[in-house]
Amino acid sequence: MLISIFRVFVLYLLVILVMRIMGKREIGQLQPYELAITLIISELVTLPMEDNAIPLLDGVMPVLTITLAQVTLSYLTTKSQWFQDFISGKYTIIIENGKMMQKNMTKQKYNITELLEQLRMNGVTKIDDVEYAILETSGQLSVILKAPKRPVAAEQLLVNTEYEGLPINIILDGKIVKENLEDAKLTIQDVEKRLKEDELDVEDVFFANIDAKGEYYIQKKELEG
Amino acid sequence: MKDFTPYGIIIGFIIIIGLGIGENYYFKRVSKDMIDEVILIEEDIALGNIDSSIEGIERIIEKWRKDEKILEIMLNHQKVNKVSESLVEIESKLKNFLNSDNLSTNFAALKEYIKNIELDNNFTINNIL
Repeated sequence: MLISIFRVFVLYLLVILVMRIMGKREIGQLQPYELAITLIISELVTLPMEDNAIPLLDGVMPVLTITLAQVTLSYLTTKSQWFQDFISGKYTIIIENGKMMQKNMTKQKYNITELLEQLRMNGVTKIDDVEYAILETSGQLSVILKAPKRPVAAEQLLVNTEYEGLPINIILDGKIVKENLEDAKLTIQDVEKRLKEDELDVEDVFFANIDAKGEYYIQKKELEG
Repeated sequence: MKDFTPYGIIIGFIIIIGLGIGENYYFKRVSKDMIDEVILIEEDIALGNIDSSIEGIERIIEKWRKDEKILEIMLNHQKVNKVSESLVEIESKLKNFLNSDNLSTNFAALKEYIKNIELDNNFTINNIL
């Protein structure tokens, strides 16, 4: 029993490590070969998890080998467009200027129901409104609306907008995030001083961040009980 | 910044392939040493040197106990256990002066188990397919 528990922990950590090495992708964004590798890895670690007679190395070595193969493929795809096309395929245009490309749909085995569903998920109900719908190599559909149907941007209305930047987290669950203070050009004293204005201590704060204008967002911890 | 990925990939492949070759070499060596020892014991029995054969089997068991620990890291434990059980059975029969006809079957099985350690892991087209 203890052996099983230990082995599961080791293999679990290995899978996390391997996934980190392979990079951040959601399942829906995986390339076909990446999805295949993810499924193979999960299968490989299951065997030594289930059977203690199988050495841990029988799970670890194939996982490391397949990770190395995946890293190699990823590297080659970044270096060669030909290799990228060979491994991941090319995008396919499904709708062009409001017209469905029937040949491409047949080639990709992409049916109308699926297309309409994807369009609805992109907030589009009329095919005629679509300039381009492109089936990406990951299987996701990118929808580009015709110019008159696109949402209006502030720039088109000649409205001046200010730089918003990215808010920086200062306090998480009652603790100052010291490594972020430098980015925010703040000191601990600055933060404490600001909190005092609201009669708060750092420990009382559940979350606080600061935006590019120097404005704080502060949320107090809820009282227990 | 210099991209070290290709070096990492090459080093990774060298390590993995090196470990694979090293493992196969180790299986081959253990298998050959064990079978040589078993053949010597069989010869001792054929010559009627029971004491010498008992010493031989004890020597093999002692050596096997050391190799077993390493083999269990790389091989299915059932394969390793088969050899251990076979060795213990032969030792017990030898010490109880059982007839050698019976033992020849045990020795044949033991040699097969040991050979399989090497053969099942050889880098051959049969094993790959």
